[in-house]
Amino acid sequence: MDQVTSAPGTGDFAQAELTVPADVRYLVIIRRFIHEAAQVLGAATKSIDDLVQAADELATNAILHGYRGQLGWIEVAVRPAGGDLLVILRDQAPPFDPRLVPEPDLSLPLERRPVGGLGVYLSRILTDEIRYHALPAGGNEVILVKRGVRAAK
Amino acid sequence: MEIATQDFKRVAVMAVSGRVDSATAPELESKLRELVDAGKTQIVLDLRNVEYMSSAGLRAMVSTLKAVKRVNGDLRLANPSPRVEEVLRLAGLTSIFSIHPSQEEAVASF
Repeated sequence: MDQVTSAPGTGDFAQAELTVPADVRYLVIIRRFIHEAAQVLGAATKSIDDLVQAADELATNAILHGYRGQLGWIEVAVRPAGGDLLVILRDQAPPFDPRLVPEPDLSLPLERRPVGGLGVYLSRILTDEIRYHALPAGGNEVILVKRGVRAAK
Repeated sequence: MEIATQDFKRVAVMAVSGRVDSATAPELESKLRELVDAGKTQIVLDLRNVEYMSSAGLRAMVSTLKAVKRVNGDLRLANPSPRVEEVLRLAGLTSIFSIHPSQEEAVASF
């Protein structure tokens, strides 16, 4: 896996990274980090809000349903790719591919609606693409892509 | 997240401010549950000062709506920001919640 680190003036090779404990109390830090990094990278506000929420939903999933209270970490990276912006989430929880979660039926009447199950769905519709890799050493890597949101250099 | 509840004759108004995510939504859900358990089933949730709403917050709201509807009550929403309203729409919830532009209008709708 490429581990490109931040260096001033390196354009697409610059990447900001954050690692936090797998605990919902740190979600606010993940959101702020993505927000600030995306701003530095010149992303439009609406796109930043979308990426922040998509990442929050998937990180929540990893913490609550992946780690299930066990100690662990969530790694977050924000990376530019031309005019696109990528948010990369990594964890060491059991394999979970968010692309395989079935879409909720939003036409159901209230009585038949499940109370939850909207997080992964929101993360999909708030982004242009979700890529998934099961990491060779165990764990998951999810890449959230928002296209054409930066003024490309 | 902060929650302030005001009790009127027929309606309870709960004003939420700050961030509703999976760290804070359980508190919102339990405060709503307290109202319902106390027989207050006509509730206005004022979202004016909500800066962020994740699906965990939506879950708390849908679960409460189901509980109050079973006893002929309702949970009505007031003042969602454009962003929160968009999240409600994307999640397909604008068709099941009654949403009002102000707290007064939401209260008067009961």
